[in-house]
Amino acid sequence: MRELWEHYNLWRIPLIILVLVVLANLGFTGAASWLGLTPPEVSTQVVGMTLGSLGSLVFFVFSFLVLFYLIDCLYAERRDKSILFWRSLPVSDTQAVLAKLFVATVVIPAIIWLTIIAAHLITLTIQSVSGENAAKLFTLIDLGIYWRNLLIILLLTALWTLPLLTWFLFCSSWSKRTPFVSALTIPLVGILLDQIFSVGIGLGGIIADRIPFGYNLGGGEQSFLVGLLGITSSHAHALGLSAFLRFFQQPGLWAGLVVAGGFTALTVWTRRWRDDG
Amino acid sequence: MESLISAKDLNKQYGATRAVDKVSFEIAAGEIVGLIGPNGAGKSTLLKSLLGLIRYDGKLEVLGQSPRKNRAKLLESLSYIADVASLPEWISVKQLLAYMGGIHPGFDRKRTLGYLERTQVTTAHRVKALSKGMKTQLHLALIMGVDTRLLILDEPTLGLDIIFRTEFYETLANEYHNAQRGILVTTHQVEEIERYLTRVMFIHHGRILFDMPTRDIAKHFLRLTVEHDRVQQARQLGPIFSGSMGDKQVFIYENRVAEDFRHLGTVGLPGLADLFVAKVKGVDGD
Repeated sequence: MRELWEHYNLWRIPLIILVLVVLANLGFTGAASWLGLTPPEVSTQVVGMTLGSLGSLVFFVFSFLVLFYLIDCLYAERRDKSILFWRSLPVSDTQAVLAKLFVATVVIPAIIWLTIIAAHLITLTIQSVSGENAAKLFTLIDLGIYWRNLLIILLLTALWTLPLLTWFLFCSSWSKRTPFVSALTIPLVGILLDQIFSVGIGLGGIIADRIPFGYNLGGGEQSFLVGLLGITSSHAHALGLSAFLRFFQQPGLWAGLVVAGGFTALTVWTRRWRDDG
Repeated sequence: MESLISAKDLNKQYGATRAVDKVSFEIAAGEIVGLIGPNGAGKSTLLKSLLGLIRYDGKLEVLGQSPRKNRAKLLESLSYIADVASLPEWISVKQLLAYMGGIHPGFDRKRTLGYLERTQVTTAHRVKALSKGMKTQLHLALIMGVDTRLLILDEPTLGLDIIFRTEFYETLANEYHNAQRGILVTTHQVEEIERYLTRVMFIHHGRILFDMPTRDIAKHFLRLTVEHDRVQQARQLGPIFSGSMGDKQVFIYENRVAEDFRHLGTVGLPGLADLFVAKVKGVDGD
């Protein structure tokens, strides 16, 4: 609970987004009727794209929110000295760090998911009331399957990006000042050195691969984002077992989880033994 | 009496400096121990070791646990107030109560609310909006709601006005303290806690210079207050401390008989502050 109180943006932002979605919807319909435009022919594709862009919008905003949350959470308590209070209570450092990781990988995806669903419902409702194809809007896409896929993809994304997430968390607990700068410059310097001296690790590629916007789910040509938006097939069929298998068979996933485990252990260790005198 | 803290040859080194140097002591249930020392004497380092916040060498048991290994478990029965206002600014009193209830197995919300009723702190307040004194009252109220055995205080009343300070120590001595519980407190403001302490320890350059139950101080030390014309005589009797007090001069003597001094002036009990200066100066060779 502490996390949601402290980082009130986590629940305030979704509310702001939803209000904007309502206003945008009303604005569009209002403008359309005022101009006398006929609404476009409702098709699966149009609905899919609308829902998809709403989803990507919410996801995009939250990506930054997660980033700021992780980079700030362990640094802020040191900055305001409240760490002395938190650490005077019977909560181990492992528990404290894992709680923050849990927020980033489970609670926030859940918030994203609910926000997207709410945005979809608002849009579909307002559009069906104002348009002529009222009943049709809700039936073109099987929303149950669509939302289920969405949730799965969000959680898998958390797993896939875990090395990045834990790196931010580590910077938050380790950085003396400005964890944000260390979190970004260290990888950048690493990439540059890798390039200049042709070390050949391909650090840049490895990192880029973890950034959700460019990620390939299951190694197909369908990009991660496309998968998330469900523009193509994913809203029509439930994600099957084979998709899971492909996801969990990637050696990269497991390598990433090992790295993430390492960063998590380092984070706990830093919080446990850091002595600022 | 049951031992709450047991330290043996405790060491902590920072580079070439020994912040804590072969420190050994015990604190038993029922004691209120004052740890008194100048800045940089090693007080905070010692407290940090007790709380398991830093590594140390030597043997240390707090409430039967090793602070290095079982920190979280230990903190179920140990409370701590740091020398800086450490309550998070963003939190509200209501949230703080809920959080304490969630993580402390024996948190008694009613008890804490009972203490808050005597203050101007309400559950609707955010910590940010409270004065320094009110923050300390809130922190104390939280601690009163938890059934701990040992309370460690690091300069808890720093920067508070005298009313708050007195109230703070009165509450601790009368309402927290009992035969099963112990308190360890560090402070600069010796005079204020003097009458509450059952024992006093002086720390200087990382070493414990002095460790004595307060009731024994009268057996070993005496204070002589003399007029100026007797200063010379008093000086010759080998005081461990001398200082002026108004138009009179004060001397402290160790392990001497009071009868030998009565003809010179008024004999009494030395204050901890003077005693502390006497002991620290003795070491520094002034």
